Amino acid sequence: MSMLALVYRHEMRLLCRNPFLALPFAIQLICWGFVIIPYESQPVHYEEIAAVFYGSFQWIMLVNLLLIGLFAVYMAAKDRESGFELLAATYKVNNTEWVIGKWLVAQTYAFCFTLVTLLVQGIWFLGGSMGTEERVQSLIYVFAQMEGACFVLVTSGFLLGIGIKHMLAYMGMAALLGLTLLSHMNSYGFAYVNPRLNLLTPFDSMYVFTPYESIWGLGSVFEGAMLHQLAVMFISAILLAVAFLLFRPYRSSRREKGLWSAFAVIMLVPAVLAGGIRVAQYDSALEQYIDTGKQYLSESMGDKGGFIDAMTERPRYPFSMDQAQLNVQFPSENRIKADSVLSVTYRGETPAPVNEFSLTLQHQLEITACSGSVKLTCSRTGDLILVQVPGGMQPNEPLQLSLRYEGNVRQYRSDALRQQSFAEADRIYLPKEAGWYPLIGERALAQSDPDYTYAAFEITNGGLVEDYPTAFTVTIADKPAGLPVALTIPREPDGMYKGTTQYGLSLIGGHFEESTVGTTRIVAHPEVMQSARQAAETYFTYWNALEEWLGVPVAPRVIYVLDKHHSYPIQSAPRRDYRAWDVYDMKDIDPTFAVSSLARDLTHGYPPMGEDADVLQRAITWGLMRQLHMDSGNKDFAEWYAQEWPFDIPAEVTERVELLNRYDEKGEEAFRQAVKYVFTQYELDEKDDFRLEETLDRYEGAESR
Amino acid sequence: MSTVEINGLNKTYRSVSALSDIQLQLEAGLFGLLGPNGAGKTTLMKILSTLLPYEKGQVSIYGYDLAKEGDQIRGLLGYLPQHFFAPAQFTGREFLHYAGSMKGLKDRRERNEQVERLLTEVNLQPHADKKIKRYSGGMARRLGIAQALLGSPKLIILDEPTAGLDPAERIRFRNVLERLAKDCTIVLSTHIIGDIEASCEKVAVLNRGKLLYQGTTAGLANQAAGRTWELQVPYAEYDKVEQEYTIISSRRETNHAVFRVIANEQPPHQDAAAVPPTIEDGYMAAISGVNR
Repeated sequence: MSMLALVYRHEMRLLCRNPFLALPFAIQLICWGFVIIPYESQPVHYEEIAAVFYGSFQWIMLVNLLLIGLFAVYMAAKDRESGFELLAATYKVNNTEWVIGKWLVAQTYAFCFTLVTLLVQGIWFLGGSMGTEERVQSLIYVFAQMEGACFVLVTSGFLLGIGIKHMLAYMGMAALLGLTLLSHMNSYGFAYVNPRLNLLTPFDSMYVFTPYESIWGLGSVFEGAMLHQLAVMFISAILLAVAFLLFRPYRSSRREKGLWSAFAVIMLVPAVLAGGIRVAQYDSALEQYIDTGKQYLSESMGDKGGFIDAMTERPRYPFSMDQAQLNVQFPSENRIKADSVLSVTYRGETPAPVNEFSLTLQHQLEITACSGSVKLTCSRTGDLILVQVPGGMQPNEPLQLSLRYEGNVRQYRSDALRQQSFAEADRIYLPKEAGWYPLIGERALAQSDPDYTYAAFEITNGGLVEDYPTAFTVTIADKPAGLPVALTIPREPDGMYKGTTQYGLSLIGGHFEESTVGTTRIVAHPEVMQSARQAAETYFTYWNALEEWLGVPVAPRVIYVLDKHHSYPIQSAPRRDYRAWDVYDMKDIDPTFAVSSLARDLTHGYPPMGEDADVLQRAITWGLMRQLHMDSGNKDFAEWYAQEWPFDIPAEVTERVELLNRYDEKGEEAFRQAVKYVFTQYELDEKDDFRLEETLDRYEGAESR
Repeated sequence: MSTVEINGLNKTYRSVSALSDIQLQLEAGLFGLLGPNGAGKTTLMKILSTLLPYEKGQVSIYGYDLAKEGDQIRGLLGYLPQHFFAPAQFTGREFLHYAGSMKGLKDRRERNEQVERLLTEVNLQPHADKKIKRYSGGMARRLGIAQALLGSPKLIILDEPTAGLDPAERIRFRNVLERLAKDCTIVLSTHIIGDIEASCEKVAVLNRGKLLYQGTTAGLANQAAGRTWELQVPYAEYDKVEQEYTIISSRRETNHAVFRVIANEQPPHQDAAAVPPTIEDGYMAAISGVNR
C-alpha cells in the first residue's frame, strides 16, 4: 500500500473516531426532516418537490460549506497546533503524501455531506412526478454544485490553514463564505454590485433566487453550472498546488516542487479556458440585456421621470388584426423561423383611407419576406414594422399581409440572470411580451424602469392589452421531439392550435400537463395540478358570480402555472382570457383579496384611472362580496369604503361614493343593477372620458323612462 | 569514522544568533548534548532532524548533505521532540503503525513486527490498545521513544527522552539505547546528567549558541579538575559564598553548610579541600567559564 493510502487510512480512522464530526450530518438530516415532513403531510402541494428541495438546498448547502471549510482549516492546521506535525515532518513521508492524504480525508468528509444531500434528494425525488432523465439531471446538478464548492473550499481551507498559522485562518474561511453569501445575495436582489462577481462563487449562482423554474426544471442553469463547476475544479487544483508549495517548502524535494509547479501551470490552461467561456457566456447575455434595456429606456420615458406605466398604452389603435395564421419552426436552439399571414383591418372612425399601419415584432427577429394582398412595403425600426400601402386601406376592409421572419428568441431580464424567453430542446417559453409574432400597432414590448441594480434599470413587460380579438391558427413544426407544448389557444385534434383571443399568444414547452376546470384550461406541472385545480374551482365561484352579474366573460380561457419570476411580470398587466399563476396565487386564497383583484382586473388594474374608476372598482368588489356572503361587518358600501380607505377620504371621493351608496341603501339588487350599468358604460367609453356622476345620471334617466 | 559532520553551522532567528560556527563530529554510539535552556540544543537537534533550515555551514549525515538530501536523511532518522504529541484518538499500537507507515514501513508484516517489539521494549504492551488520551505522561513519553526507534533509524535524536519516566523505566530505556548504540548514532539531549554519565561516551556542551566542549565524558569531568572544592562555612556566610562561587551543590550539617563549588583558585575558607570532579562539575565549569 502506498504511503499516501496509509496516511489517508489512518487519518480517516481518526476522523471516524471524532463523534462531534457526525453532528453536522445529524443536523442536516433534521433540517431536511423539517423541510420534507411538512411538505409531504400537505393534502395538496402548491409547489413542486424540486422547487421545495432547491429552496432549502441553497441555505443548507451554505451552512454545510461553512462547516466543511472550517473542518478543512482544522485538518490543515491540527497537527501543527498539536505539535504532531513537528514530529511527522521528521518522518520519511514526503510533503505530497502528507498534505494530499489529509486533504483527501477532508474531501471525503465533505463528500459525505454531498452524499447525504444526494440520498435525501434521490429518495425524495422518487415520489415526484419526473422522468428518469430529469431525476438524473437534478442529481448531477446537486453533485456538481456541492462537490465543486466542497473541492474549492477544502482546498482554500488548506491554503488558509497552511498559510496563516493562527486562528485568523478560521476567520478567513468564515470571511470567504461571507463573501460567497454576499455574492449569492447579489443575485437575490439585496445587493447591487457587478453581477459578474457572482461568477466568483464556489458554486454557480447565476440565477435569480432559485435555479429551479417550475415546468422548465433546471434547464436554464444546468449547462452554465457544469461549466462553472468545471472552472472551479481547475482553479481548486491550482490552489491545491499553491497550498502544497507553501507547506514547509524547505522540506519539499526539488522534484516535488517542480511537479506541483508544473501541475499548477497545466491546470491554469483549462481553468482559464473553462472560466473564460463561462465569463464570455454571461458577458454576452449581460450585454444583450443592457442593449435591450437601453432600447426601451427612451427619452420620452426620461421625460416622465424614467418610468412609463405599461397600462398607459392607450388610446385604442385604429387597426385590428382579425386573423393570424402562423407556421412556426424551431430550426435550432433558441432560433425561430415563422411564416405568418395576417388579416389587418382599419377600424378608424374617419372614412378616409389610410396609407400605413404599424406592427410590432421583437427586433432580434429579422423579416425575410413581406408581401400582401395589395401592393405594400415594409420597413423596420427597432421593434416596429411600418407597413406602407400606397393604394390606401379603406375602413373595415381587411388586408392580407404575409410576413416571413426568423431569428434568435433568447431574451433576458434581471441583469441577464433570468431568461425571459427561450426555445431549447427541453423547454420553450415565448410569452407574448417576447414579441415572437407580429402584434398590431406600435407597441412597447418592454420598458426599462430605472433602479439601483448594476445595469441601472430593470426591463419589465409592456402592457400589450389588445383592443380587438384575433382569430389565430398556429402550426408548430420541428418542435423538439417529445416535448409537450401549449399555447394560450387550444390544440385541435389535427395538431393545429386554433382560437380567438384578445390576449394573444404565449407558447410554452416543458414538463406540464393540461386539465380543465369549467371552460378554463389549466397548464401546470403535474405535481401542482391538483392545487391549481382546487384554486381554479375556488375562483370559479367568483368568476361565475361576476359573469352572471356584469354579463362579461371573466373566467380565463387558460391559466399557466409558472414560477414566481415568470408569472409576476404577466400578472402586472391585467387580462381576462389568460392568467399566469404562481404558488402564492394558489395557496391561502384570501376571498376578499381575490374579489378585489378581479374587480381591479375588470377596471384595467392599477393605473391611475382617476377616482371615478377607483370608486367603480370598489363598488364591484363590494357588490361581489355581498353576493358571495363575505361578511365585512359593514352595513353599506359607504361604510365599507371608508373602512378600506387608509386616510381621510377626500370630499370629491365621498361624493362619488355617496352617489353609488344611494342604491345600496335601496337594496342589494338596486346597487347591483346600478353598478352593472356603470360598468357597462365604462367598458364602452374611452376610459379617459369616463365620469361616474354623468353615467349615473344617464342611468337615472334610463330608469325613470 | 564520523557519521555526522557539522562544519561552521550558523543559525539565526531574525537578528538573534541561535547557533554560531558549530563544528561537531559524531560517531556511532551515544552522544550527549548538554547546555542550559536557550543554549541552542533544540535548534541544533531540529536542524539535524531536517525541521529547520540553516543559513550557513555544512552538515553531512551518513554521507548525505542535509541541505540537499533531507528526504534521504529522513529515511535514517528517529526523533523524539522535547514535547511529544500524538493524536489522542489513536491507541498506542495504532499510532505506532501510523508513524511506521510514514517512516516508510509499508510492509504490514514488517511494520507489525517492529511495532510489537518496540511496545515490549518500552513496556507499553499491556497498554497498547488503550487510547493515547488515557496515557499518563510517562506512558506517552515511552510511546514517543518507541516511535523514534521505529524503522531502524541510523541517527536517533532524543530531546529530553527520560523526562517524566520513573527510575525503573529510565534504566530500561538506557539499556535499550545502549543496545542500539552499537549500530547507530544517538544524540541525547538532557538536563539529567546522570543519564549522560551512565550512557554516553562522548558529549558536547553548548551555551548561547556556541560549542564550549566536545569530547569524552571523562574529559568533560576533567574540565573541572583542580577547580572543584568542598568547603564548610557558617550559615551566616551562605549568601557570600553564593555570590562568589559557582555552586554545584550544598548540604546542611549540624551548624554549618557544606558547599561543592567551582573555582579557579582554592577558596580562602577553612577546610576548603579539592575533590575529584564529576561530569556535572565539568559541565558547570564549562558553562561558567571557570575552566579557562
